[in-house]
Amino acid sequence: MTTPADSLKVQVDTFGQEMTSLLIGALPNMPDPVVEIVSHGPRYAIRAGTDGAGVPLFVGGVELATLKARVLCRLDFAKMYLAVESSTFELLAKLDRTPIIRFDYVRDMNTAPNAHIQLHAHRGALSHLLSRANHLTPHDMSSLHIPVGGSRFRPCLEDLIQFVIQECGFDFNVGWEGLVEDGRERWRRLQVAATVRAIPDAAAKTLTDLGYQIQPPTTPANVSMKALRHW
Amino acid sequence: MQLEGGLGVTRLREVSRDELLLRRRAVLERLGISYDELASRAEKRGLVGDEWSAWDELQEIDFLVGDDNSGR
Repeated sequence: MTTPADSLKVQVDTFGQEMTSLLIGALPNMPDPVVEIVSHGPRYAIRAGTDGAGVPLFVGGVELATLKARVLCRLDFAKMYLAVESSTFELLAKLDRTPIIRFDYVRDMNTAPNAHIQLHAHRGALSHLLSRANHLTPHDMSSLHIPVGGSRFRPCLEDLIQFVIQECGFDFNVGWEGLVEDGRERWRRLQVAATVRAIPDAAAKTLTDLGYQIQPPTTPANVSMKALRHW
Repeated sequence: MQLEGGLGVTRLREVSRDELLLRRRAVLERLGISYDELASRAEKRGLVGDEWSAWDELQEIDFLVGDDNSGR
């Protein structure tokens, strides 16, 4: 009989292999290993590159930046599924060590939106606005946490891969688009399933409207108000 | 468990609590800063340069040691 710990290990391994396939398939000159998984007891850290150093990004074969990805995960409350405690995807230039852009997710964040982007840039007009609003750090754009869809609708690593290739112009492997879309589909299907578990009444109503015949359980599942209302 | 192989293999390794705590000390020594000071900067959204990656690494260590029921 598979224990929850065994099940989690399989899910983590699958997650790691998918990240490995994505990075190797989409981006050239990946390091070895391209993904490391570190575990202590029932908790796992999945990260790109050796010791979380990330993977290199090139333009015309010249290394100009680093893509970092780190996902911390454990079993969810039901002891069945892999739950991401936090994740960070970031783009850093080789010129300095401050991130250019970070996609962050922290499951139990209360001081900012739990899924957010932080952008390290400068804009005088924004500094002026924040100063007038008595912001604590008006000249630091990265202190702003730009919300991006909460736990269920946040960007995935595939979105950042497409961003660095399509928007920023970094080198890519032929065929990257299919890999990215496959991964995005897997991600969104997982998130839809999780959303249905959290908000089953809305899922049941929508399916009923579509013509499905839904038989509710004797004891209806609770609706997660956190899933509905948390920033 | 480390899976041997070429490019495309995901490396998996288990770490002990002692190893994680050593790593934490090494990160802080490299920066020349205390944990509380770095945490304070992070809370005030005032991290700069290498402090970002250092804080990420410390958060990973904190997470991994958070449930040490294995007794290792």
